[in-house]
Amino acid sequence: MIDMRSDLPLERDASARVLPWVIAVMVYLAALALAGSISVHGALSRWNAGLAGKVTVQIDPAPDLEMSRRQRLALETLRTTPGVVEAELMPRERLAELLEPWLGKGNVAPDLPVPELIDVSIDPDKIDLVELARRIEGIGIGVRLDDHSLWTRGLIVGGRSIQGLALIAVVLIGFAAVAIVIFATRAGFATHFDIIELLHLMGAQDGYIARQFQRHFRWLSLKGGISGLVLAAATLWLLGQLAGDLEGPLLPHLRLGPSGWSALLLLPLIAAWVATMTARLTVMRALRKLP
Amino acid sequence: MRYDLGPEVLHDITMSLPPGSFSYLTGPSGAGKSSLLKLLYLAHRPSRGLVTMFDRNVSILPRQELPELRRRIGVVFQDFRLIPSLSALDNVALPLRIAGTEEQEVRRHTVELLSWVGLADRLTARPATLSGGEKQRVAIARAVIARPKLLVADEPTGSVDADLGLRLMYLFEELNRIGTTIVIATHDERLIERFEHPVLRLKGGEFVDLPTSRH
Repeated sequence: MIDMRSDLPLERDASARVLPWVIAVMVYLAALALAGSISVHGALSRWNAGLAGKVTVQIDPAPDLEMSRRQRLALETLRTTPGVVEAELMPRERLAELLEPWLGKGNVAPDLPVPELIDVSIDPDKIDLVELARRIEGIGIGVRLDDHSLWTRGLIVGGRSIQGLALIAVVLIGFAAVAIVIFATRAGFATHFDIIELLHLMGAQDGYIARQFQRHFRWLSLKGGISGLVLAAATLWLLGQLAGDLEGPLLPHLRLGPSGWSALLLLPLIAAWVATMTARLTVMRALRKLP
Repeated sequence: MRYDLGPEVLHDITMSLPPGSFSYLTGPSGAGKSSLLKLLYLAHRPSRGLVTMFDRNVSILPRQELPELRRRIGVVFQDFRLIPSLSALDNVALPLRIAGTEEQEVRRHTVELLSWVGLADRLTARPATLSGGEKQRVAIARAVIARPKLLVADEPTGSVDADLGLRLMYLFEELNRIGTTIVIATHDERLIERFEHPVLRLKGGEFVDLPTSRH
């Protein structure tokens, strides 16, 4: 059975009213930062997976006859190159879909001059991309091979930066939480010093007194942490709905998955553990000043 | 003994309290009675000199070993020092809970002792609702519940009426008869005359004469 009895009336302190709210806000912010980081990580993985084993041949707009010649030569070159699994001209409708994020749905005119794209599946172990690029560019001006490295490099750098910032935010939130718990613990220690000294004189070990603070701050943090997580979950659900409405295929979807949600569920427990340990160390340090 | 960097409040003190003895500590205000009591209940350690209790040199004993010794000492503070948020029962139970006694035992002993001091019907009362005499009895019950080897009381009869003061002294004598060493700090010369025991007189931080007994 868990002993919740306390000799110190800590539940009457101002910290008992304020701390759960502070912890709730901190867990809320940490959950959003963590969810953002997990989403970006997921999006990067999906983009990488989607682009792995794919290259694109781009043929700039040209008069019809020249365009057909370039398409034919490019497809022939691709189909005779070892390591190319499949090469397929992208239909006009698919090209229109790709342009929709910039031009808006239904705004891609049928006669708009757009580059032709050949979607190429490759076996990365068997293909010589440098040689293929040289042969493709040899077909004519405006024909080139895109292995997406420029695009993916930029995305990865951007994504990693966002993840780094989110991690820094979580760490800073953690430091702020620790500082607040230290402050609240010291305030509680000073308020109840007479009782603490009395317990000390009756032969209480430092751990006996520290445990009362630990229980108090663990419970307050858990209460605040769960509230913050519930709020964060509601916010993430709302953001997910809004992101769906925006129809932005380039935006990373707020897909957390089971592991992501598990990480978020751990936040109140981590907050409670951090508060418990902070309170313990603060009290034990203060008690060492007593004889 | 001195507080921080202040002057010595006790000096040239040599004394011995045999197990099972009963002593008074008296002297004018500022003579050092409270400071000597603080040495006895291990609230302070001497800045120099030697204090031996329960065959241990507490002057140099590691800090983590002091709680076990403190549990052998009961203290009745002049201002009672009851915890306002706890009931009479929980206040009295503190030393047992600190010592890790089973909760069932704690309850049984506490109820028994509070009944013995006439507070059976005040178990759940908070200190704020208790009279001066009731608080005094709760404080004494808390001091003796763990059957201390040494009981230290600071002006235990100072804030109660004469009748209750006498009853408390009979209680201390009773505890002394069952082997508890007792030290009572008091200004009350009539009390000292009525219940005769050796007297330690302090003045200016030192004993003014050797402990005397009126036996």
